[in-house]
Amino acid sequence: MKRIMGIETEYGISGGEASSVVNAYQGKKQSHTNISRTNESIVNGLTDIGGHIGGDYGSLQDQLELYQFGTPSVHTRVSTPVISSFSFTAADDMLDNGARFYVDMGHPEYSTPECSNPKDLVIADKAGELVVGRAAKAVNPEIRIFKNNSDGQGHSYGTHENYLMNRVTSDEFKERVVPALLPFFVTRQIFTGSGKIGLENAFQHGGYSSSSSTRSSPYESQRDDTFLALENLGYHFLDIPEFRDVKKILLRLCGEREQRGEQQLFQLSQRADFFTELVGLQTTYDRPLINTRDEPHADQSKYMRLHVINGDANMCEVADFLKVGTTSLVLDLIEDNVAPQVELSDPIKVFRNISRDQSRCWELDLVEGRRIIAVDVQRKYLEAAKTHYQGRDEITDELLNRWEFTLDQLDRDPMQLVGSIDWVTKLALITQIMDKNSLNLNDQKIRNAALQYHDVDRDKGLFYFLQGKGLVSRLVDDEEIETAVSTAPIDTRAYLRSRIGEIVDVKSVDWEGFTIKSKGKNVLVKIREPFSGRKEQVGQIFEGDLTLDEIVKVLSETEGIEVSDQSIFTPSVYPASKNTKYHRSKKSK
Amino acid sequence: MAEQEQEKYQGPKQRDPSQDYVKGRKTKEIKSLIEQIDGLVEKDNLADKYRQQGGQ
Repeated sequence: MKRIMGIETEYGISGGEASSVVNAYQGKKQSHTNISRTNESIVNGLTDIGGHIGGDYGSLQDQLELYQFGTPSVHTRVSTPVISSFSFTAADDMLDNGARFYVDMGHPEYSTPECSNPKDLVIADKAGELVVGRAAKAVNPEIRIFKNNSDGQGHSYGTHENYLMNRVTSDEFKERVVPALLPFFVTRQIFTGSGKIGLENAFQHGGYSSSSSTRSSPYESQRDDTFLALENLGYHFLDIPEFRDVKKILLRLCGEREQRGEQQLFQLSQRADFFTELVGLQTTYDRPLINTRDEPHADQSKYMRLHVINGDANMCEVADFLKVGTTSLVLDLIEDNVAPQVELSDPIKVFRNISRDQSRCWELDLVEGRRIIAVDVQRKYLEAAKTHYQGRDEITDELLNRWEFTLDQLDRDPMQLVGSIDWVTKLALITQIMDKNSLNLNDQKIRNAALQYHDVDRDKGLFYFLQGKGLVSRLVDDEEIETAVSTAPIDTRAYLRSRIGEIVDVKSVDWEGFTIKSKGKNVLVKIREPFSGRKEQVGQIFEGDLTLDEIVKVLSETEGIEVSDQSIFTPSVYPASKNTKYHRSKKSK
Repeated sequence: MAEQEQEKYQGPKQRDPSQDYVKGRKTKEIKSLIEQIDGLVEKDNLADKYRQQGGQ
């Protein structure tokens, strides 16, 4: 298995400021400079101030205002951003290990370095927990860092996966990629979900709908449909002052329902409550199951980026491995045109209903009219992957075996997966606490425990308590994780990018390259091929006592790396001109 | 083909979710550690106070 992949996690934080945490980290290499960001890209609506492609912050005018005044509040569901009380911050660093550590929407966010396979990505993701946790402790030991995706009070923050895939046209993406991904994404939560108590965003467009598989009477169905209609109405009235009374009534209605215990759900997914669209650019509101933020940070003529926002943050290494590994396998199937054909009748509703299904049967409707269970949807992808990729390499085989084992257990007895799958592990944990104290899901102590499961502090986190007792299945060891805190993977460009500062003066750095200074001139090194710059290609520059010119010569002769003395960025969509190659031989080290 | 698959389709296994709580070797081990776990859970209103800025 070989694919560029990474994970970006917005961590929950309590008792401190995200910017303080990021600024406190000692392993920083260089302030991050997005050399891919140009005025042109902003004008064309391609890039926002956070360095992301997308329309998250509205129009260009909105973006420019935000750049001047701050970041948008996402507590509002209106399309025009509103300035919130916290300010734009420049805390943004590339680290010794090739990762990026920064502040996004008030959260400390950690983006792993580019990895070439799911196992390395699990290691890098786990190293991120150590980085963020240690940075927080350096500020104040009382600061708590949670690797989760919801505060339980209607606010969600993401753990995004990124996969490079072969470039396809927008029509191909719409007609071939999206239909193949949707059934996989809405059902993978049965092993990727991190578990959550309660229901959030009852007013979310599309409304609350209890699982159709658990409806037992026409009355229940009628009642749910009524709630759906009322809550859709509530959604539309939410921010209209004249309808404040209507909103109050609807809120009271929901409150009464909560008192009757209907909110005492244990969901599979932290995120399912927050998705309302099938496909789209947004990430902070109107979140889509398939996000189209195609910013590959690489040769755009060759690669596109699949930016996956529907997943949960995982504590369990096995769940993390399955999440990124099976998704990568499904992308293989899509690229090879052998993905299974499954058409769900209403993917957004299915996504929510599977998460909320207390029977854990996970039954859903297909367009053709028949029903299927989520496990069997996953089996279709598994069987296709086994047919085409079994025996390909060690990691693929390990993935296929674990995927099959996990689906079998989910079908027979999910609770056998304690220590491997997060929602199962969390449910087992809080159930024991409930039993001991005669509590229910909504009691404070249980909600505390559910939150503490995600605490990255090895002494306070309940997940780490279980791991310390040997109750968590390990895929990687602590030594590998510790190594990944300070060193990058050796088989991607993260290797070169993370180490270049050891031997030359680096002026700026971004995912796609860096600028070094030589005799008053900027030398731009672009690594448009993410598998270039790996140790076997460029490791020699760190071993000998090379001059700067000799270093530049090695880089310029390395396949996939472009070296130029132009300081103006050339978008990677346009091939760099040959005469921009750096040819100077004068010693300048 | 669809009809054949429909014939094979048995529907979901009817599980009693309450039984989930007690099954599994590791679940039993968690139970044996419950005093320690119970002591680790915060006594204050941690979850109630935990309010985050929405993100991406």
